[in-house]
Amino acid sequence: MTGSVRRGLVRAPVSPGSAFVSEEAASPETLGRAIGHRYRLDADPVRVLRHEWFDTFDWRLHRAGCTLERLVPQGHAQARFLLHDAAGSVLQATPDTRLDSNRRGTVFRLENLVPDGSLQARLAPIVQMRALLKLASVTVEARQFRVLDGQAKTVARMITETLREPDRHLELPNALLSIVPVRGYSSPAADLARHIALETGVVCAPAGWFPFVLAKCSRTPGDYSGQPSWRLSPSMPVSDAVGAVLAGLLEGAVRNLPGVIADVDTEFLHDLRVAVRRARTALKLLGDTLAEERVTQLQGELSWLSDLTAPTRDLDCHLLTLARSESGPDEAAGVDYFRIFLIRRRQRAQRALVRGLRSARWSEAQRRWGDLAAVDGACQDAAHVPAVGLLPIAEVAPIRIRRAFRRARNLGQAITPQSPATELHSLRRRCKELRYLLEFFAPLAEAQALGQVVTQLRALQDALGEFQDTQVQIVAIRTFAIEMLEAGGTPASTFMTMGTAVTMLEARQARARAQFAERFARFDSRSTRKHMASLFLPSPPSDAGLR
Amino acid sequence: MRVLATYNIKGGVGKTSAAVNLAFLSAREGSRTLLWDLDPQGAASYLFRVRPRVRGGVKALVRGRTSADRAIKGTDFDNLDLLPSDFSYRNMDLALDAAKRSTRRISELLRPLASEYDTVFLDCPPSVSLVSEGVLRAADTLLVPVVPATLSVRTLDQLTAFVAAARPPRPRILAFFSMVDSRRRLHRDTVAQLSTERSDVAAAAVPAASAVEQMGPRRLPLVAFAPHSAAALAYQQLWAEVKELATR
Repeated sequence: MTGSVRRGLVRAPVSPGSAFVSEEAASPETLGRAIGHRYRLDADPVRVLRHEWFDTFDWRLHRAGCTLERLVPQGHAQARFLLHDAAGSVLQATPDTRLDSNRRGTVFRLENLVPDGSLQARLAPIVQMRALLKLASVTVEARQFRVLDGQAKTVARMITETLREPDRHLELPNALLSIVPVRGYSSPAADLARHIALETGVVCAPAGWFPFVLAKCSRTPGDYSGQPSWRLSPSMPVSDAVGAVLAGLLEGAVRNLPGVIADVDTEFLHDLRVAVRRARTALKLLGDTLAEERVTQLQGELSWLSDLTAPTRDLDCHLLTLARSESGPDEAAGVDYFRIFLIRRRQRAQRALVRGLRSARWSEAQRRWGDLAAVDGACQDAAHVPAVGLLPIAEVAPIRIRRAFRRARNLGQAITPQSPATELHSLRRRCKELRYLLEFFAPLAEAQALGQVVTQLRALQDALGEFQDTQVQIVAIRTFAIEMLEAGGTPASTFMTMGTAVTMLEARQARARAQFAERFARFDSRSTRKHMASLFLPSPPSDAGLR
Repeated sequence: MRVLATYNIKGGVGKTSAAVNLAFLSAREGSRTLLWDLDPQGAASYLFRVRPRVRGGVKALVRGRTSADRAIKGTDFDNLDLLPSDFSYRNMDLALDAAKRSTRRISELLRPLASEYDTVFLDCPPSVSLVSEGVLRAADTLLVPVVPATLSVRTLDQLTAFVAAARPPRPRILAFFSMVDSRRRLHRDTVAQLSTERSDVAAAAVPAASAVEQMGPRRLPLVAFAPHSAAALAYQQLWAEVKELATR
């Protein structure tokens, strides 16, 4: 985009917004000419401002269509937050807030960054448990011009910003001009945008500096998602497709690694574990299409990685459940003791996890994962790939998916209200495998049918997930209680708290179990089977070698 | 979205001054705030330099031909918008009367704005009418300015009875003394007596001050141009009490 500016590629704004202009075009004289005789310009003093932009690692705010910005005036110990929509308009602003030492740095909990109040409440359901990361910042000299009508009412605002040292090295365009309409007064801002477009060449920049500064760090908004994607074509050999899937999953795992090691928030580890689980599923259900020896080696490494990451994740789940549960003032001391117990456990588990992720074994696992993805991906060596791996995906994927579906149905049909928890857990695992298979080959599936199948599958998974998660937590709390009792010194209120927690978990588990039958019935219905059958129409020819 | 209405049967008791300053304070704290100037005199619109005009007038607004959303104007302050007055609001009773569910209409007009605003202030005209009934239904809290005089206190009693007789949901009432002249004994005595006797009277008392009158020529909220004046401090104290009441 910067290059476009330099080459003089010009796009005039047809509506108010932000645009890069020459410094001369952003001068008070030019702006004064642009507003004509109907309005008056009232200029604020020049201020030095730092723009800072925040989002979660997985771009939750960006995906919700907004951008969170903090404006820090130089020489002030205060800052304010602005929430913009995708078009750059301000949705909400906070008052000036004291910029204490807790609010400096690059990684924040929402409540430690955004002051208490309406904006924090608005962002909380979007951000959830994720940390907010400072993604980019830039320092500018800014000046606001208020456009006043005959009543001295502000009917539009113009803000000019030029880069200030030390950010001039960013080699961004010289000046940003923002024309900000005031609600209910669209004409003045539109007139100004038209005049300025006529007077001088401009390049639209609705999101202001942010994408340009981010691009300088080789990043773009939305460049990470917990849902990895890959390009597949129906005629692609299945071994290449699996290689592409493994490559995408490895990339996701590696991108989450620094966040896991730095313990930024719980979701880095969650996403790493999901990537590992998906890779294990790919190897389990499609590994026969790749070189056998490499698959066996990588399966061993991924199993080790799952075991390594499990204790911290389990403790994260306990702590998240505890944070969500409401406790009265009488229970506060017991809850605190239990929380501290869990936090200490988690610290130990996290240290072990970090040691593992910095070990030679992780490097080896990563290398094996990468090798398999590369060998059986773009640079596939046919000599190592079994014959089935050379078949096109369009032939293999439908058969494997139907097989996974059939297995899940068979398991589910055998479950009764008296079935032990282990049987529901097995079904949950089969459902996860089916879900991952559907995700792997989603680019080739008929979107509507896929949507219908995934809706029913997700509902079933939610019930099974709730059942199993509560089961794991109940067992763990009972184990913790025994350990605490043996260690001594635990106050009685903590045991009462733990007892209450178990009672609540058992109630949740009972609800999940009650939901199961109805959700499985929908998953196992004729309608879902019909959608499943139409996922990959026309049906590929069957091949005995694939079964 | 919480809805606060400044309301009194009597006119000239400081409803608009309170609505303008409290709305300003609400917005300054980062709460997305809308002030609806329901008074056809359009004093709040004037103070925010907004032309008192709604396209199609009150009929179009009440019948839904003009949405409240499209009539809203941004003020010069962050987070603070205004739904302006219109001279046709003098006929709002007639327009409501002609509409279905007349007493719910004001609530219905506000409902689509719930995702956009955290706080709405209704600056009401002085009357007991269908508009008042609509306001009672729409508001969570009635902020009632009371000049400390016998007749004003009697009016507060009438209003309290009127609200108690209204169909639920009924708003809470928080009265506050307005235009208090501490040189006058009657004012001093009335403030002292009612503040101790009644739980629905705020501790904050807005003095009669020339600074408040300066809002007219300056066309700004008092809290914006004289934040340390006694009246501005009283509005800030009142706002703190209003917020505290909301947490109860």
